[in-house]
Amino acid sequence: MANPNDDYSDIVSRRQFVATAGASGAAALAGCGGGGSGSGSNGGDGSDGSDGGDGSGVIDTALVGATNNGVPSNLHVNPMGTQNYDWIAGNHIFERFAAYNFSTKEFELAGLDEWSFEETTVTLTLRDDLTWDTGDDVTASDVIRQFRLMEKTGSALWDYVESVEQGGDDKTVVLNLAEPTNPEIIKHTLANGDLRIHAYGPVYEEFVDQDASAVQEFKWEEDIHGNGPFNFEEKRDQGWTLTRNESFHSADNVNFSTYELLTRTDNTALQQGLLGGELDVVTSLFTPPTTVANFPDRVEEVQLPAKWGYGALFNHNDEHFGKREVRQAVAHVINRQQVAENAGPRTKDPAPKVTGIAPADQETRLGDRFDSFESYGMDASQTEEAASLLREAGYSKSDGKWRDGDGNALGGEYLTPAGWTDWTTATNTVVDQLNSFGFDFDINSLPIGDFFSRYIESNFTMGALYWLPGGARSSFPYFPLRWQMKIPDISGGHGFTEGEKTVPAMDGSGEMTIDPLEEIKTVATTQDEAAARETIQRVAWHHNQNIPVLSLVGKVDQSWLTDADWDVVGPDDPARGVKWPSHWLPKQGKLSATE
Amino acid sequence: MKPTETDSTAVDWRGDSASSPDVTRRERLKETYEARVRTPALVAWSDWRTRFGLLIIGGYVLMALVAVLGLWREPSTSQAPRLLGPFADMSYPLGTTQSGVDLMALIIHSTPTILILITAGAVWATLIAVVIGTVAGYKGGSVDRGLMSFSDLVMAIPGLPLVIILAVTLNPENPVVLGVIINISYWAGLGRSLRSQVLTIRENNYVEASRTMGISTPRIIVKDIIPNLMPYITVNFVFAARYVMFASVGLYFLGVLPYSAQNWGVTLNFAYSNGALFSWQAAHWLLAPMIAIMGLSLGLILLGQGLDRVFNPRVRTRMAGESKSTVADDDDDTVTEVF
Repeated sequence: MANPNDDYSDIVSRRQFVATAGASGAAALAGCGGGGSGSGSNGGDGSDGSDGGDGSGVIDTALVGATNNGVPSNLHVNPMGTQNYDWIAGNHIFERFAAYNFSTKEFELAGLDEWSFEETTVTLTLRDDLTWDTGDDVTASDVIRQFRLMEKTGSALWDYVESVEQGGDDKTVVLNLAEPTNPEIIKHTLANGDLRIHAYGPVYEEFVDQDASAVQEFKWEEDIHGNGPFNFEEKRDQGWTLTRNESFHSADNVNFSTYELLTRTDNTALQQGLLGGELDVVTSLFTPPTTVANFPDRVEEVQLPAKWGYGALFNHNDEHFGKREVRQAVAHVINRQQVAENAGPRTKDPAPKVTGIAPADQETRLGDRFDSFESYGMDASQTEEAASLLREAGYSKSDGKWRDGDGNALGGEYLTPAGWTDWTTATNTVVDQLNSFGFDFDINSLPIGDFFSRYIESNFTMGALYWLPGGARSSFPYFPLRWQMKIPDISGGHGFTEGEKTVPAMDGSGEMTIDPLEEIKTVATTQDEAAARETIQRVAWHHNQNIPVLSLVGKVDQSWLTDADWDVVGPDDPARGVKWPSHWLPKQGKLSATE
Repeated sequence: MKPTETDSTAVDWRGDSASSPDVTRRERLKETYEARVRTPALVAWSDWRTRFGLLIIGGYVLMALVAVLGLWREPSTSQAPRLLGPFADMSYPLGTTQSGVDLMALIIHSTPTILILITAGAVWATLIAVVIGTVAGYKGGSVDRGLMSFSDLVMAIPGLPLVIILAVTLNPENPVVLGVIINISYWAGLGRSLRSQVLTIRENNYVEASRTMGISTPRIIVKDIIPNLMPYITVNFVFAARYVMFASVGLYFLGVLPYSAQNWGVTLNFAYSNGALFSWQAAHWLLAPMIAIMGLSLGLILLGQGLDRVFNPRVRTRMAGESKSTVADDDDDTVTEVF
C-alpha cells in the first residue's frame, strides 16, 4: 500500500479504514514499503563493517532521524496494533525475515538463514545467532506464535498457508500451504515492508488464546524486548531514543551508540530539519524540486520506486464510462507525461503502457510483446483517436462538448482526495485535459473518509485512485493485475465484472476471449515460470485493452541521508535499494559514524 | 405594553418636524435623502480611511467583474511555462505555478467566490446577532433568558471543530452556504454584547418616551435602539467578514473544505507543500494569494473604521455643519478607536 511517511498516511485497508473513519492509521500500514533491518544474506556483510572490532570501537554519538507518525509518548511498538504503532521505531527494534531489494530486484535474507520451497511446503530456517536482547534465542516457537496471531488478524500470508509447525530443530518453521503456490508470492509476503519478527514469548503468549482484537489493541510500551539492531531506551513527547543492541547478530556493523528519532509533524518540518542540519536521515519524505535544489551538499537523496501512483478510476456501472470505447478515449486524451511533470517532475514517472504493471517493470515483464501494447499516447493528447472512438460509441460533439443521444454532456464529478496536494495537481491537469477535449467534468475534492465512502458505495463516475497496490510485492504483476479487478481497498466499488471478456487478439488478428480473474489466479498456484509469464502477459493485454483502472503515473519515493558526519556507501552500492536506507544501511555497516 | 396607536406613521414624535406640519412628500423625500444618504456619505468620504478602503474593495469588485465577464483567461494547468517568476513575462504578470497555471488568473477567478462568501457570512452573523441581541436586551424577562441561554449554548460549542464537522458532513460548495457555515456560531458572542448595550440604551429617556407614547416594539428597536448600536454593528460586520475570509482560507489550506476550483487558500496550500517556503524560485506562488488576502482584509478594516464616523453623532453633526459647538474643535479623531 502506501508509503506511510508521506502525504498518504491516511490510507489504510478498508477494514481499518471503516473502523477509524479515515483518521490516523499510519500505524496500520503494514506492508506499505517500510522496512529496514536484517543483515545481509548469509551474514556475509558482517566483515565489511568499518569498525571491525568487538564493540570497543563504538563511538558515543547519535544518528538523528525523525518520526512523523505522531508524538512518541502516545505511540507504541506492537506491530500488530492497528493504531498508534510507530513503524519507524519498531523497524529498528525488530529484525525482519527478508527484504526485497529494489535495485537488484532480488530478495535478501535478514532474520532468516534460509528459505526453501517445495510443492506445498515452505521451510524457513532462522539464523542461529538471531537472539532477543535478553540473550535468549529467537526460536521456531516464537515465529509460530507470531504466525498464529497473524492468522487471527487476517494476515495475507494465511491466504496461502494452511498450517504452521516446527521443523526438525528449534530454528526451523514449516509452513504447509493449502495448494501449490508460486514461491514469489510467499517471498513477497514474508519480505513485506513492515513485517518483523516480534512475538516475544513472555509478552505475546497470552494473546494466542484471545480474540484478534486483544492483540490489536495491545500497546507495547513497557518491558520491550526486540531482536533488531537497536533497543528501546525511552520515548517522550520530543522523540524516541534507541540504543545499540549489543546482542544483535550483526552488532559489529553498528559503530555508534544511539539512534534518536525526533518528532516532526509534517513534511515542511522534516525538510527544515534536513536544511538546517538537525536531522541526519529521513526515512521517506516527499520534497519538491525547488526545495531539493536548496539542500546543502551534505544531503543525499535516494530514490526508490514506490510501485504505487496516481491513476484514474472508472465506475464500470456507469452507462457511459462502463463502455470500453469511452474508457479508451479517456486514456487517449490524457497526456501522462504532462501529468507527471505538473505533479512532480522529479518524483513521478509516467506509465509507458496502460496496464496493471509498475512502470519500471513493464519492459521486463512484457518482453517482446511490450511494443504491441497500446500506449494511448504517453506524452500526447491523442484527440483524433479519442474522437473517433467516441463517434463509434454513438456520441457526438456539439457546443464544445461530447454528448450522448439525449444531448447530455459526457462527464460528471471527478473525485479527488482533499489534502493530497500532488494528487490534486494531477487531478487538475487530468480534468483540464479532458475538458479541453470536450468532456464535462467538475472536480470534487473530498475529505479522505467521504472520498473512499463514495467509491465503496459505487457512487461516482470517475475519480483519482492509486492504480497499483504499492509495496515491494507490486513488482510481481500477479498482485497489481488481480488488484485492479478486485480493488479490496474500495470493496470492488468500481464494479468491474468477473467472467469472460472479449478483446482484440494479441497478435493483431481477430479477437480473443479471456477470463482475466480466473487466469491470473493460476499464476498464484503455478510453479512453472514460463507458464506464469505467459499468463501475466495475456492478462496484462486484457487490462491494456479493457482498462479496469487507468494507469497514469508511478511515484518515486525519496529517502534522505547526510554524509557530513557519517560514512555512507556510494550511490552505486545496491544496498541502497532496500527500503528504507535509514533502517537497512546502519545494520549492514554501510552507514556508520566517522571516526 | 401594547401600543395604543392605530397607525404608527401618524404619530409624529420627532421634535423638529412637529413645527412644520405642511411638509410635502417631495420635501420629506429630500429630507430623508439628506439625512440618510448624503450626509452619511459626506461624513464617510471625509475620512481618508473610507476612501482608501472603498478604493481597495472597489478594486476587488472590479477584479470579480473581470472574472465574471471573462476578461482574463481562466486558470488551467499547463497554460504557461512552469514556475515563471513574477513580471518575467508580462502576459503572466504574477508568474505561474509548478503546474503552469497563471497566478493572475487564479487570483482573479477566485475573487467572486470569496466576495460572495464573506458577504454571506458577515450578513448572516450580524443579522442574527442584531435580532437576537436587541430583542433579548429590549424585551428582557423570559425572552431574554431564553435567547441568551441559547446563545450561551452556541458559544459553548467549540467553533472551529463544529465548522469542520459541518463542512465535512454538508460538503458545501455554494459560497453562500459555506459563508453561513463558517459563521454558524459567530453571532452568539456578538449577540450577547449587543444585548448588554441595549440594556443601557433602553433606559434612556427617549426610549422611555417612545414606549410611553405607545410606539410598537419593532419600531422602537429600529428607530431608537439600533441606530445607537450601528458603529458597533458595522465594525463587527467587518470583523465577521474578515473572520469568514481567514477561516475559509485556513480551512481550504488544511484541505477540510471541498472545492471544485482553486482559490486563494488552496493556492497557498499548494505553494506551501511545493517548497515555496524554502525557495525564492517559488516564493511568488505563496506571496500572490497572501497579498490578495491581506489587501482585502486591509480594505475591510479601513472601510469599517471610516464608516464608524457615519454613526458617531458628534462627528456627523459637525460634518453636516449643523453643530457650531464642535466646529472649532480641531481634534478630528473622536472616532471610536477600533484598534
